[in-house]
Amino acid sequence: MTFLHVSLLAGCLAALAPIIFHMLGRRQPKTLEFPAIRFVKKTAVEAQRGWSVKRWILLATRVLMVLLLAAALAAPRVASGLFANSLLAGLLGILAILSSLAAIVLWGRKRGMLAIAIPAILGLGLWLAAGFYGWAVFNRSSDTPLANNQGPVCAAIVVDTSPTMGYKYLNHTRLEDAKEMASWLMDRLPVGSEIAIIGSDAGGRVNQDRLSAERQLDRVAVEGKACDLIERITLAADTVRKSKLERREVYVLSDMRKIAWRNADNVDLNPFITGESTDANVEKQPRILLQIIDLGVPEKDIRNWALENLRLSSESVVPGGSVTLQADLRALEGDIKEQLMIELAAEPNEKKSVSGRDGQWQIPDAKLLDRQVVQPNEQGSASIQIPWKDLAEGTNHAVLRLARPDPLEIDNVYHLTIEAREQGKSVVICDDANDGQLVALMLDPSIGVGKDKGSESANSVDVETRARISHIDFSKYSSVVLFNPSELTGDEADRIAGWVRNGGGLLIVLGPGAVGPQAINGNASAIAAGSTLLEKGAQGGVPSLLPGKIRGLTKSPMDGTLTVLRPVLANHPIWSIFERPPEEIPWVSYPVYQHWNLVDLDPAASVIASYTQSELPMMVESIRGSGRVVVMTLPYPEPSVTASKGAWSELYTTSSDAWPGFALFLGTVRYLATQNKHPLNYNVGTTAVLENNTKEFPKTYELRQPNGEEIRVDSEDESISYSFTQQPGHYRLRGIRARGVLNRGFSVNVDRNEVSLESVDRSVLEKSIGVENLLIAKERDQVQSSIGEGRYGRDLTPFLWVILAMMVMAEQTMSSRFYTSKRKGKS
Amino acid sequence: MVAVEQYLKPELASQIKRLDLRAQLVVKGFLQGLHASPFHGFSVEFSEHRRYSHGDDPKDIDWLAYAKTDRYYVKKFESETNLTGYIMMDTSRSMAYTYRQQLTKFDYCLCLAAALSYLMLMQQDPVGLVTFDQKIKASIYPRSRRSQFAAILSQLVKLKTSGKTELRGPIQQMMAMLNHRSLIMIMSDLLTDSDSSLDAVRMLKHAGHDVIVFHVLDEAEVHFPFQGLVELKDPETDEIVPVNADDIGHDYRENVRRFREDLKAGFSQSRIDYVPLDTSVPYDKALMEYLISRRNRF
Repeated sequence: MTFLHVSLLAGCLAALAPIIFHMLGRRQPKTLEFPAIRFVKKTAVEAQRGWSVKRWILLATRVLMVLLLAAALAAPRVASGLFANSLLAGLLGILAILSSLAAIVLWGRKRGMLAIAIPAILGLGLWLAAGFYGWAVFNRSSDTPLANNQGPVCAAIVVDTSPTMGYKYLNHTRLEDAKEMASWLMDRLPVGSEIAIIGSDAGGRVNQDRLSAERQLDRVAVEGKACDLIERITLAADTVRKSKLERREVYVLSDMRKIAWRNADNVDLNPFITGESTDANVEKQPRILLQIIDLGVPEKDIRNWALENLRLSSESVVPGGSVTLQADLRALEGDIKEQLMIELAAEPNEKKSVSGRDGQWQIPDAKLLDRQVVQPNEQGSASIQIPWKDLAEGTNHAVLRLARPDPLEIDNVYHLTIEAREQGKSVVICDDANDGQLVALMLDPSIGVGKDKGSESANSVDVETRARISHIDFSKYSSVVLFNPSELTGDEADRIAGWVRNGGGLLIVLGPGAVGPQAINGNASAIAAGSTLLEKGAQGGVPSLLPGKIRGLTKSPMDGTLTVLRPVLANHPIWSIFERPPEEIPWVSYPVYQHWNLVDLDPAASVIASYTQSELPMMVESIRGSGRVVVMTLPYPEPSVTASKGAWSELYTTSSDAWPGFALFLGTVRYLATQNKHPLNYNVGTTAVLENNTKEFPKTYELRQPNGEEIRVDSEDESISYSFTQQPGHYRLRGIRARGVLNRGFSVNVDRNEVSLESVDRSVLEKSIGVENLLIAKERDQVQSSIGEGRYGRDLTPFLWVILAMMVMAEQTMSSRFYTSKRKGKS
Repeated sequence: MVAVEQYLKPELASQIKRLDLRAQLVVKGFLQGLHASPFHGFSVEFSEHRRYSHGDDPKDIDWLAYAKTDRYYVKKFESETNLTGYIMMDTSRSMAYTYRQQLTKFDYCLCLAAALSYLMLMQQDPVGLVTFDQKIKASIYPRSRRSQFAAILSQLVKLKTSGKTELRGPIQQMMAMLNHRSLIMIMSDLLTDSDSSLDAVRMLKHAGHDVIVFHVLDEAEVHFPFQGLVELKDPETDEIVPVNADDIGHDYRENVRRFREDLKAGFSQSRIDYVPLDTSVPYDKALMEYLISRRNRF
């Protein structure tokens, strides 16, 4: 507790005055003759005792009045956190006085012991409680700053940069309000103050001048990831503690969302604020004033719609191909009955579009490609599916967004990057050279047309036999077709598997070769028993590449029931070659007579198509490292060895009607051949990696961030890595190669888990910061008052004046009963 | 008549120094307000004729006497003529108290006694006077002569207040003096033990006497108009009690009310007329009480 000046407390000596006056100024009551005194006696004797007690109460009231006056003039202040304790102590003191007086009055009236004991015991308890709280106030307020301290301050302003700070309310984002508030705070700091702006989780630099702080504040922007305010506060506390200035203050400007305070449960900030340490040997640090300024929007005004769970059918396609975008719409708050419009807008992919003549970046305007009206359901959610068709060769950027903006725009949009490029070279590995040639011809009809060797296309197909596997340079190929394999050695399988994990695409077409020569020669019992070479080599070979186990063959029943192919994952990019939903393809015209039973699938494997009768998978995809493996459980095209034994299905015929099987096969190989090793769409804060074959691509790129900042990035280990993905948006790379400018890029989006408008519970903050240290203000007046209280403590004077006024009224009431006016007295 | 009634107010009557005039004023003024004469009775023993006067019951007219004399005469009966009245007047020190400094209880009682004496002598009843504090201090034997009024008045004006209020002793003394049925009119503030007072007065009643108790208190003793801190001193015992009048005013008035209620109840049980008065009450009220009690009795 502090006072305006301690010497003012000497005014308490004036309390002697009423005692002296009371003693000296006691007037003898007027003596009157009255015969009927016998009726007065009984009442008067009791009243006399009460009157005597009341006289002393009046004296005590007057003494207390003088003490209160002296205390009020001394302007006592207590630390804000102790204010409640101070008031409680005062209240308990008053109650204790009242209880004690009640006990004395009852004693004066000679009431029963019980009647006296109850207020006496109560009074005693209240005195003890008042003493305890009073001790707490005096003992804990020793380091409260003095009221007249107007020296410079070392202040750290912590700015919340979580995505929700972009919430717009009354035409201002929370961050804009935060900056405005920060400027206002800086205006009110005493001359010579030091200011640190903590707008990121790393580094705390103290600015000696206001201008530097303003510049630093200007650079603070909303990030795509929720910040950790507890970490920033500790950083701010450490920063201000290093200052030589005695007074240290930390201001936190936040919209008070739970996500930013997520670590408040686990971290105790009290030692950082109070400077106390559990280690007795560590000297106590000066106290820090922590002021939180709540810039949050009132709960009733919160409105938000969000696009979530974006799913891309593929991140790379062949030029002219298409991808399907799927996302969920969720109305977090507000009117969920409104119809909403979702738009897909893409930037025209022109090779020179991103760079002008003078080397300046020229970002083309996005053109609207598609628009859908969505009606959320009663739960406020809806699913959307939008195709992005006819992608031009190169890197394509687009945005999927809500047509109508809402207050929080950051979760209204997804930035997308899809690469369209020619499929790479493929190799067909097959035991039978004729089968290999057939497959190669299907994949590249230009084979054998009489081209020059030098004009070999980028998507050309090589044919190799199994015996040459150890000699094949797989790095040349984007996809491998393992057609009708019979047996692989462990080393061969490992070589292929390693290439797949490194980003390759493998298609395994199971055919009659899977059962070995015996079965092909008609050993039906071997087939029925499932004693295939594939099973025998369970520890290596082909089975190690499969996402399940082969358990014999299934043949179509003889009752005429047809088994046909049935698409399962209709959104899979393999089907995109059909230009219409795969369910609409007349698969029923192409019956399947027999197929392998692939069972015990890996949980991570996904079935792309299955058979109608057996429900067993026809086409299964599994992810291996950066690559993919697709397995077909029937041969396509039909191997030559089956010509004499009958076809496995009608999918492959030489007629022009058999286009579905051909398209499916071709689409599968294209899909595998165009998959990127690394993704092109990332979440904020993750490291983006782009494959960069320096034989084909430049070694150095200029990278342009969404906020317009440019940086140079170099290729290392045949890839480009970039970690500073704090801003959501399109990240564009521009490199120079012999053939001209190469534009590449990737997209970064906000992880929707980082965008939550749930408010932090005050109790959580009280637990972390401490009830006594927690100062939260909303309006500027509150902030000013709160800061004043924090700096100088809270003034108890008004309360003392109120009590004093009450005491004056009580004194007047009592004295008017004791000393009647002269006019009345005469009577 | 209105003018006369105004003079019945104690504060005006006190301005008339001569007690006989005061008494006449009170009595005459009062009698003019009555429709019926108070002088009638039921005694079968004829005593004498009396000239008819206005207010007498016409049924009492002796028509034979009218036939003989051509004048109206009414019959008088023995019992009326033999009603002896005693005025017992308290002269203790407490009777000298007055709050307004105008009319003490003693003065009030003097006027009342004079008026009653005059009234009784007017109807030719013998009336006597007894003054007392703790014992009988003086007495005048009852007579019905006109000179009796002067004797009583001369005694009354000589009276001084002294001593304590006590009823039992004087009444016991009084009873020894009485030898036939009488009307005893006690005037006192009764500021003594109420049970003792009741017992004493009941003794009179049980002895066959008619008793009227004029309980006279000062206005302040009834209403307790004091405020603030005062010290009250008992004039009889000199005992001083410091009080806060504001605190005890209500209780005091309640005590007095209860005291008078107890007395009234006690006297009523014994068919004793109890007339509570204070010095702010006009005399006519006292006389009314007396006459009503007379009428009820006969």
